Amino acid sequence: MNQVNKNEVDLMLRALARRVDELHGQDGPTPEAETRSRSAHLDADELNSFAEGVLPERARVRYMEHLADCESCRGIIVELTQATGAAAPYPTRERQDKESFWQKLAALFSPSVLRYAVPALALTAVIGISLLALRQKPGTEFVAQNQPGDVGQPSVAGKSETPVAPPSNAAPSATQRPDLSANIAEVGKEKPKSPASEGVLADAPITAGQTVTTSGLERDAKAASKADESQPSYAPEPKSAAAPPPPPRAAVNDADTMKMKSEQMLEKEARDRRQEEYQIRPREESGPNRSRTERNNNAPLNNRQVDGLLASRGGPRKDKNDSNSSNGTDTRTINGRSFRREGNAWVDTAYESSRATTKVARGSEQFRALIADEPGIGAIASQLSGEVIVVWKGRAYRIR
Amino acid sequence: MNQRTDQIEKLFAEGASRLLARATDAHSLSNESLVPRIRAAVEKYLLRDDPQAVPTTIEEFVDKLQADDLCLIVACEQGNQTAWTDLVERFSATVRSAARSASSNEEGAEDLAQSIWAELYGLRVREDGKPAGKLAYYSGRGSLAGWLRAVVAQLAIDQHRKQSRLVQTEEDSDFDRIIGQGHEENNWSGSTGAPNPEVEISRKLAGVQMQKALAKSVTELTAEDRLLVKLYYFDGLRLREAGAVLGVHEATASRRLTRIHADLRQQVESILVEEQGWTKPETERAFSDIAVHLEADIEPLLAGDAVMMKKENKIAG
Repeated sequence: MNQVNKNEVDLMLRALARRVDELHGQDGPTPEAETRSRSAHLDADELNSFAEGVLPERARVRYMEHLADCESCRGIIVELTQATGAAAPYPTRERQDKESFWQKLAALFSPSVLRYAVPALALTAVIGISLLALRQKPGTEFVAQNQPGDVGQPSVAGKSETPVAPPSNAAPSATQRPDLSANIAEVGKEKPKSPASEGVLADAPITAGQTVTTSGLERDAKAASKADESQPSYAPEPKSAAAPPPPPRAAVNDADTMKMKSEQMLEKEARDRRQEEYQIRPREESGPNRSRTERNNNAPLNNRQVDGLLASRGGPRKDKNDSNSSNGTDTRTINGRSFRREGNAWVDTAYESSRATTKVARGSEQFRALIADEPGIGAIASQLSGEVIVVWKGRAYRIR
Repeated sequence: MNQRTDQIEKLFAEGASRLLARATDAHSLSNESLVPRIRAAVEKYLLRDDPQAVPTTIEEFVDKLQADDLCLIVACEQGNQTAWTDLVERFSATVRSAARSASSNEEGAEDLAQSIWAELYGLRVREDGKPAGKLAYYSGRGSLAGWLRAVVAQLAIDQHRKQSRLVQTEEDSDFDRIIGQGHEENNWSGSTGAPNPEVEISRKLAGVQMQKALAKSVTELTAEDRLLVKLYYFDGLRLREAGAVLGVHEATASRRLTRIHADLRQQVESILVEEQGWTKPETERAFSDIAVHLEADIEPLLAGDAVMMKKENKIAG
């Protein structure tokens, strides 16, 4: 009902009320009305009970019938209600006028509701989006630790790169000498190993006198990928002090990766050692001893072997005798590179005396920059004391 | 039936015991002295409208009686002077305040208050020799203070009627008269000074018929709706005050009034179309015309009422 219609009825009711007042003053009551009114009025107890709202519902409706038509009783009720100050003597009786669905919906979108609902919804949306963004962050950071392009490359190249040539004639290509650090980053990962590499590991025929200078780590490196030494498989160390430190999550991932790698490398190196031992022993022993070899291959490593394997990866060997002395010279293999003792220096077997060397002093700024750029060299330098000549990426470095 | 009666009597006795236990001062009353009062109250307010009320409802009703007030009144009825003294001391201020509200001056208020105590104590003597007073009408359902205010108000009205020789009648008779009036007594049409007498007569006739239809529609409203209309339009209450009488909030009262307007309009249209033979366009046109005229007639009056209300508010301060 629009406002105009409401005003029309409102005006008509006001006019009707005035008309009734006029009639009161003009004609007075009829005798019948007078008698009826006295007997029909509510008594004081009924009036008070109604005003205080303590009547049962049916009684209340009954008295309301009288009050709607009796001005006198209505007046008393009004006075009693005002005297008690009862704003709502029947607080539980408020009827909820039936509203249409659209009216209720319109009430939800009223300005008074929207004034608070809209900011609340906006705040909830902002919080929800922030939580989603924060949850996605750990994944992205973890993904950032994986170096694309250096992992899981097929080891077809590895197969062709099996270094079976003698050390003196070795002319290793860059692809054959991946650095240990690359292996550490790669081996522990769940990357597919090519059947070829597996074949190399398991079925490579080893002839007598053949020096298998490659360790399990080297094979892993070959099996892992086409080692691009220009692109280390892990994030390079910061080149300057101003470089931001690596995120802590990277360190955590490195620790986990290291742990996984160490377990795998232990097994591989154990296998390699057995093959090396097999190489040392005559092949005719392989027949009756094959079973023993196989048993050895399957036997768990003892602590000495484990220490040796661990030392071969990271630190100086605890066992000083861990060197090939088949040729009567001290040789050591570090990060897949073979070094022979020449006087007080450890010389890379890939080094040729005619090659020029770059002199680098230990502890110098040049040395620090070199090992920062090439951590593999740093690993070699840390394991070999004294003077070291290492061939790295086509250049020969003399580290003193 | 006897079983039902016995059951109810048992409920009354148990209720009286609980009531005495609740009262802070039982005035040495016994169960037997309270049972008749409880029975009267239950029959008056509960069993009259619901004769088959369940025992639980009866128990709840009895447990909501005002224990202290009822014990005090019953003790006064039994002639307990201590109780009577207590009644006067506790409620003389209430009676005096109510008398002052119902009277125009202080002297009249004092007379009224004294009359009240006489009425309460009862100067008339019953057949059994015991004084007859209004105390017997207190059921204990409402508060004693409110009951005393109602007694004062009724007595004030009775005295006023006696003095002015005017009896307030039920308004139904007034509505009946409006409905039965001829068109010549109706002033709804509102003369606009139109020169055309036919138009003027037709307008007057329309006004009469609309007035009758509206009066009849008002009588056909539900009791609660009719009470709201009477309180707001005929008694001049504000919506907040009218809502307080009905026990609802002002906003609720406003919504109900809006709905009543719609119902009344629809009912008036129905009466005019079905009983008076009007057409729909005619009723709509008549509403517009009447509203225009009434607005012209009522606006000065409403303005005057507004001025008076402002003055009253100033005095009330």
